[in-house]
Amino acid sequence: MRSFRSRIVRFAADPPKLLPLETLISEYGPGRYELTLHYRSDLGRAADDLAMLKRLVRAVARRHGMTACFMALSYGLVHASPLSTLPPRIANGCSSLARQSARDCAAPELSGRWPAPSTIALLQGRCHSRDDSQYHIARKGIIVAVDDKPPVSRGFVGRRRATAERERVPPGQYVTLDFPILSAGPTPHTPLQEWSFALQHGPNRLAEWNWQQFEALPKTSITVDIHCVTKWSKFDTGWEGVTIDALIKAAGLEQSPTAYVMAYSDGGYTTNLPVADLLNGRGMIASKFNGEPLAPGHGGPARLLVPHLYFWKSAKWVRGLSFVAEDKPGFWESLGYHMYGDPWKEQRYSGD
Amino acid sequence: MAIPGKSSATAVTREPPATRLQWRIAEVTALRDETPRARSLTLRVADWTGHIAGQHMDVRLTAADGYQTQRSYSIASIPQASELELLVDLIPEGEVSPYLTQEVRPGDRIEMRGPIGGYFVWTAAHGGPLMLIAAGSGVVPLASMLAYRAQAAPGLPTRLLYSVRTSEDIIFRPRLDSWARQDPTLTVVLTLTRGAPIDWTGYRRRIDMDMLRQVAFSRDQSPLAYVCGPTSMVEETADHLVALGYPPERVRTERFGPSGDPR
Repeated sequence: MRSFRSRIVRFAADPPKLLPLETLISEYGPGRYELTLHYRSDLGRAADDLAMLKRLVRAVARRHGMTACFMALSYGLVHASPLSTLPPRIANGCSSLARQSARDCAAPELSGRWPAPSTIALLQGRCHSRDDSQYHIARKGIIVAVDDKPPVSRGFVGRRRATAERERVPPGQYVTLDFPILSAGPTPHTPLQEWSFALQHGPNRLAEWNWQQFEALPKTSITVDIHCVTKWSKFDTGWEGVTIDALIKAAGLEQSPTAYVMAYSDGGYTTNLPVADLLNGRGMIASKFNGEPLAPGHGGPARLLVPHLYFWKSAKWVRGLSFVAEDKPGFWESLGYHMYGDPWKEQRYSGD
Repeated sequence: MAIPGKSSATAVTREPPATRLQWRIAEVTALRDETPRARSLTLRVADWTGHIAGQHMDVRLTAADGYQTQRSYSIASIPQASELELLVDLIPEGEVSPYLTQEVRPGDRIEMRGPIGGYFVWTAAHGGPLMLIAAGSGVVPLASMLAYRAQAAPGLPTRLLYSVRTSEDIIFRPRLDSWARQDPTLTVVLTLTRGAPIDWTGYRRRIDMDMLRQVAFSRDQSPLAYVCGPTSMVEETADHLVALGYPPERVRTERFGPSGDPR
């Protein structure tokens, strides 16, 4: 935003002046500017100034990776104009950079904060031009408006999926038949006789199971689609394990002691989740994949499985859940990834 | 058993960005074929503020009918560079890489957001000695680290062990040669896995335990290792390094490509 404005000012106002720009004022609406041109009594010159301003704004917009267009400003908004009946001191050129949606064009009290994310997006080049037919040189001024359709990648066709498949794939994901492995470090190889799984609440160990005890707990099998934040999705993965409901029951707990957990793993990995996302069969500690013992590369002997969230939440090599009062970031969450990670809302990174 | 916590990650923990990472438009300014299947794309991104060596970008393509798809590509350029360099390795059956390696031309505009990633990154503060191990296009984030190291930490003992199929598959060979020539504290070791020229004096096999014993810093030097390549290579190499006494938290990995497991 600042650099857009400074470029306009640099081109228009700094000597040698290309345009008789008097002021460039941030308007109420996010990304909206009022550009005030020096008064000219010669209507022809005033029109030239407006035309030139339009070209300038376009050129600067292009440098910012977007295309600007111009629309008439309603008569009532302009209080001073070379064309109005009262002799004004200055001619107004109102230049507004805003998204088309009413919300973002609205005053700050409606859009929440300034500059709005959409405005930042716009200035970072997410937006592109409207149709040329909507360009007007205003009688009273100019509004520059930009919408936020993504630009077409010239020559890109892509691979269409059948509708049924498309509906199963969250935004930005593609389907893989393979099962990629992603982790931040070497794969731990904990022998089964040293393995255990614990439910923890602060310093209190609520329950702990060794491998034999864990394997004796009631098992559940599910077939689900999984979605990795690195953009692959895999359909119909088969898992067997112990649901978190069953673990809480086996621990003799009536209910979860807190609203959040931090899952922790061999190798120091952690990830945070709301407990509600683990209950009612939505989360399990899985020890079999497609009928086979879970391979170490995929998180064996056992991993957390929370398939409705991005797969980094399904912590590999999981060794326990620690019930915590507050939702604190885990490993990837503290490195810029989203606290919750809903693939259907494309919550990949912090702020998504 | 591991203590819950982020001991292995705290060194690079940053404040998460307060606002959403926005999609931005990058303009392709130059293309260069690095190998018969890998193309380097140089891009200009408005108000680019740089990255940390090792990070990647998300790329989004939009077809004329609105269909979109996304992929991630590692950043090859030096963090302070004003323009961004990505390297795209052609996957012949792929959806995106044939477009980026064959169709895209200078002046095209590509949507991207980033930089992304906070663990497989290296800054001078991480120290060393730096043991970099790559296969194929896994060398890309490591090349960014080496470019950065040449400026920020010249003289830091560093070794790159780089495995490719044939000599023509070596990505960034000119810059690797140049860095190694200019800096006696940097050693670049290449290994060719599928045939070597007659006069080839280097290794001619996949990275294995013996090779690592010869090339990698010993654990007494408390090296920091970065391993990037296809999954099976990374899995095996990381296991070997741990077997050679590298503490797991000193081995950072980034993997791509198929797992090698049956479906």
